[in-house]
Amino acid sequence: MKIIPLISATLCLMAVSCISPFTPEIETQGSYLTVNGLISDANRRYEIRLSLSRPLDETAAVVPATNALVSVTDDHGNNWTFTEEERGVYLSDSTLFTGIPGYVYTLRIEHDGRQYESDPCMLRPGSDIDTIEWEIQEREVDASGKTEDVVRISLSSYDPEKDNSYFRWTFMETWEVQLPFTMLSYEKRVCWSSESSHSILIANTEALSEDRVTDYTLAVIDNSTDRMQHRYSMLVNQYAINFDEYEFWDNVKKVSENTGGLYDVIPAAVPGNVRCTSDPDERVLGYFSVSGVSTDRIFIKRPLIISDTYAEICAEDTIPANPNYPGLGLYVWAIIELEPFPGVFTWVITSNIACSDCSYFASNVKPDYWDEGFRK
Amino acid sequence: MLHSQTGARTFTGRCTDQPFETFAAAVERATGIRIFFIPAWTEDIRVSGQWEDALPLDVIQSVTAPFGLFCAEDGEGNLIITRHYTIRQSFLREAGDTAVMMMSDTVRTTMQSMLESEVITLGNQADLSLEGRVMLSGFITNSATGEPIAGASVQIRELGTGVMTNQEGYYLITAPRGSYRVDYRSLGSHDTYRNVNLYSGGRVNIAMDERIIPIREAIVTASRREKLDRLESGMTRMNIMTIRLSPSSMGEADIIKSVLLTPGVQSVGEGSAGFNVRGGSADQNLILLYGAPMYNSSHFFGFFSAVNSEIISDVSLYKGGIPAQYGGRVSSIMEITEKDGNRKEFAGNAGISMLAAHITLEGPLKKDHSSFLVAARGTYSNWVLDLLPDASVRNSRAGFHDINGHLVTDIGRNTLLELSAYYSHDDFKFNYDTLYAYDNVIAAARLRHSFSPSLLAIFSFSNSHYRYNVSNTRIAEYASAMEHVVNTTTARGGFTWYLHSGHEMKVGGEANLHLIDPGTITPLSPLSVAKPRTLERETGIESALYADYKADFGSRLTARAGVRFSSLMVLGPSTVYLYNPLFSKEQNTIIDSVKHGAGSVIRTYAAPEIRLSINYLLSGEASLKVNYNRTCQYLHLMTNTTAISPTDTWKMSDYHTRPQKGDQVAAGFFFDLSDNDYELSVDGYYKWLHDLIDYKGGARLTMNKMIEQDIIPAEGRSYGIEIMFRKNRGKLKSTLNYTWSNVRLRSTSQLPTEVINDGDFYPAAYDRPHDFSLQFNWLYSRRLNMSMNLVYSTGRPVTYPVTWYDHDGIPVIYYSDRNQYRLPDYFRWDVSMNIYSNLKASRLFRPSWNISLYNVTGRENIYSAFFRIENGKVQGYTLSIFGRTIPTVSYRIDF
Repeated sequence: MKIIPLISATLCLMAVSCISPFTPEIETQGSYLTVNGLISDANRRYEIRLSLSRPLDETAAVVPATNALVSVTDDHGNNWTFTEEERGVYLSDSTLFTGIPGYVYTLRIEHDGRQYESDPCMLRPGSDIDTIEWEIQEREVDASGKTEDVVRISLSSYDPEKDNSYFRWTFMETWEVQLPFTMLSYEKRVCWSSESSHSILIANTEALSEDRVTDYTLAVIDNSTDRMQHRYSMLVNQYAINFDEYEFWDNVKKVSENTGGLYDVIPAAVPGNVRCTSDPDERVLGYFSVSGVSTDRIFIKRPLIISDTYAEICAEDTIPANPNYPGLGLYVWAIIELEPFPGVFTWVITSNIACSDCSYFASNVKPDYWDEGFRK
Repeated sequence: MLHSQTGARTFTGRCTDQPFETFAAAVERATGIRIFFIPAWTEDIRVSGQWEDALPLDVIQSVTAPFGLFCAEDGEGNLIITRHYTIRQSFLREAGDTAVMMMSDTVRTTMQSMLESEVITLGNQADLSLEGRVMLSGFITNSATGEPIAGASVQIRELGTGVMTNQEGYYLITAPRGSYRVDYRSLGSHDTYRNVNLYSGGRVNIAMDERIIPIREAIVTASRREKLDRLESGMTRMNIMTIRLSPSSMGEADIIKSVLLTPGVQSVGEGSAGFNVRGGSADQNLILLYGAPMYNSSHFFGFFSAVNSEIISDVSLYKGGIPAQYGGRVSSIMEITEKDGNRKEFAGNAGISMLAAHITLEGPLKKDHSSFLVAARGTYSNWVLDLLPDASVRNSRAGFHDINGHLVTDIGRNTLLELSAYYSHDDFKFNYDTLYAYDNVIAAARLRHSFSPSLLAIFSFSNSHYRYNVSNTRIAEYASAMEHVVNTTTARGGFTWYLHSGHEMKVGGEANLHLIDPGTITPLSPLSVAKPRTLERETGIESALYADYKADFGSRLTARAGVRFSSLMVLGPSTVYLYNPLFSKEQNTIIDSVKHGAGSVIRTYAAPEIRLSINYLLSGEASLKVNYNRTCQYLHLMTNTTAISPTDTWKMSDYHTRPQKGDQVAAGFFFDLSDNDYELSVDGYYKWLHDLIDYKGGARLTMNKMIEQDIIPAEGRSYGIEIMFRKNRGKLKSTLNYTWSNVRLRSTSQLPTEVINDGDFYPAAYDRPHDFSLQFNWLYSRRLNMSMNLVYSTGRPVTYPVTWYDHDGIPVIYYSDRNQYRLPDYFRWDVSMNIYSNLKASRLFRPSWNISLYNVTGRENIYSAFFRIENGKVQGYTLSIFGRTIPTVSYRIDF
């Protein structure tokens, strides 16, 4: 609820509320089977990821749930088996299985001698994304009235048939990275970074007379990242989800947006749609999603907002070329070798390896849609 | 007369609020006599009055007699003030006819001291030998304003028996024929007494003098006899003066914040709306203003109470032993007794604090017969928002105002009519975006009539309307508003019949028509695609009939037994969905839907509520009280947030949702030590709560037409001990409260998806086992007093996560067991100072200042804890509010 910031603000004016970190001493922790899976009406290999939920107080790698038997059945008597190709990642065969709108799918898992089953979920037909738009907005930085430019990307969608009332979006951003050192080779200087969305993007149109989503904010990008320096593209997936799944995401959102405010909901377990059939008391986390999908991509070609990301992290210096330079390859990296005078070799060095070769943090393979997309 | 031969020997003058010492000096100067007294005896005396050519003895006697002092004159005309004994004089000034008067059913109000020295004879001495008991009755009123004084105690000293006046100020006591001294005492008035030769029944009306300076009230919440005689062990009465003197957080006197300092009352945290009484949830408190229910009792998200303190005379909170005429909520009844306007002269006050300003005007419409009181209050808090650094907050707005009007008029000798109206409004807007607004509107008419001295009736008719509205107009395509409305129309009638001494019977009934519009969505622009949608209106008639009998058994034992037969008829039109009883109520377990037409009865709930109270006077200084009561509640506030939020909706019990019920047994000792210098009370209670409402995780509570799918049944039990110690006299007065309590809830469903914490008992969010408060009020001088509060309580329970996982790049924290951990303990120290800059009544305006420091130590009390995933692990954060000292200043003038 939007009143939360206002309440915090009111508290500020009266007294100032303050937030401080603390380390809770938690006695009871659990580790439960977690399901992250999605099937749709798009012809692709569907992925079911199984893992164990993670401990609270230490950074630990994800523990995959391996050697499970994973299958999906529909209400027309079909059964597809998923194969484990990576530890904990189970994939379908796209030549055999593509979801059909209107069919009802159920996920079945056997793991560690126990049986799990999802609620039957109907695949809702996807509806097209109408437009994805972007605009530059001014955002106030502080009370002095200073502003900065941000790029807001929004979506509108319309389904004339009014089939779906619940939507979820995910996106994948890809943007061109250019290191500021022109002397670098093209392969080391120009790359493409990609990142998927990390926020819960859902909307419902049940209170509306039409399935119309207008001006829904997908992302707001400011100059703290290098996304808007050169060329940028975003691929948006729109999922037509079931009411149950909408509720799941809505609840996850409510619980994760708790800020300790006065009107926070009392945190509660958010149940998923997968249950353990052999032990009803066992908790299963995560969600098996069945939804119609439609995708669209936007290209933004002008350099938009200036970021000084590289100036801050790529301190450069010049030293005589010396393969025995202390810390070379450890604290400092040579960007390029110069020969200012015949026989005198110097290196331009940087303290950040990423500044010498963008492929350390991004891909130097140009996406195949890139040039064509920006030609339009 | 001996001493008044010369003009110099009489006294002419007027004064208001003078300390006795100053006054005595003035009399000495004016008359040339000397007055002897011990200052310690007169420290509490404030003198107000006007005299013309009055005899010094009469003047001084009139002033000192109410305080139990005696005054005698020596041969020279000098005055000697004594305590506990009189100086016998050979020459008795009073003699003859004036001292003994024949009285029947007449009203007498003149100066108290004169009256106290007289002997009132009712009937004829010859009747003394007749058999049987006779009745003494009358009305007690405030001599200044003519208002009836409720809850005053009337006691026959020789017999040790006593009664209390009812809401109309009426009392009735029976006694064997004889000569008695009858003591009259009331909170906020000077004690007085009458010597009565009670030979046959008769009426003695008393006009009690208000104590001018409220200092004596500073911490006193009820008078001594009242507490000893009171039947309920769990009742607190707070005078508005008490509330005004204690430190306030925002410079606004606040009834609810003050009630929170009393034992047995808790809240989830500072700045939250609502309070919890003896383990009940916040919606289990009925707040009655002008006899009508208030559905939202707070302004500004809960930082202020929605009732302006200027219109309040006192506040009674029934935590246990709730009398049968009250009902409708499980945990408590908070009855606000409003101030009647001054019947004698125009008066008023105005004040200004950091956030709000108020003005009150009152006066007679027809002198001595009718009066009015109007009060208005508003905030100008928006300028504070403008000071904030965050742009989105600067574009926000928050404000409130409220208006009260109250008119009281006599209709003939035996009838009193009251007309009252109340309106409050709040709105707040975040970043020019979503506007939240809510209103309370109450209109009430009450008629009090006395059919005979022993049969009184009150009839009332009221309407309470609560509405909130959330609207958003930023994007024209979505512009829409959601509205929730609760409207209750109440008709009540009640009769109180005083049978004979100490025996009284109350019968009555009430009917409430509840109309609840759970939610309506309206598009707000022509472009808007918002679908107009209205959830079915909930209609119901909540009614109750009650009978209550109170009797004295001998001089020590008083008992009251009552039954309240309450019921709710849930009426159509409505669509009821029926579910497969083997499964949790969900969309796919609906097996049928039944449409009920308009006016048809969908379901009726009815239950007798038994109320029993016993008071046993162990001695003149101690009493034992035992209560049992059952309460039913048919309206519920749907809330799954920690504190009540302004967008929570009210819901009536319906086909699926059963009424909440509570049973409570309570017992308490009350001690009155050292002639009311100290008092001590110890109360214990045990409470069972049935059919409570809890919610599935992430329940949707607004615009949900099948809300039963998100509700799960629960029950609770709570018990505790409340101890209060109070020092009532002297310059330094203090109160110490301690509550030990335990509140446990549990979900009662057998279905796995409807169970919280595996169906085990878990602590409620407002469970605070140790709760301690200490209040001091120090009268430094008549122009300066200081107060302070110390508050300590155990931190409230919170829920911690169990594990977390990553879902499509989104970290999801999994919480499981509710309220298994606790926040750190709460501690706060507040001080405040009241400065009266002029005490002379002759001045037209009497200004005063209040300076408060809230949370002097600046302790960062933790309000809540929350969790985020950061760097691959769960990081906890705590939020504290009011984490520093908050100074406030408010200014007020009375005129």
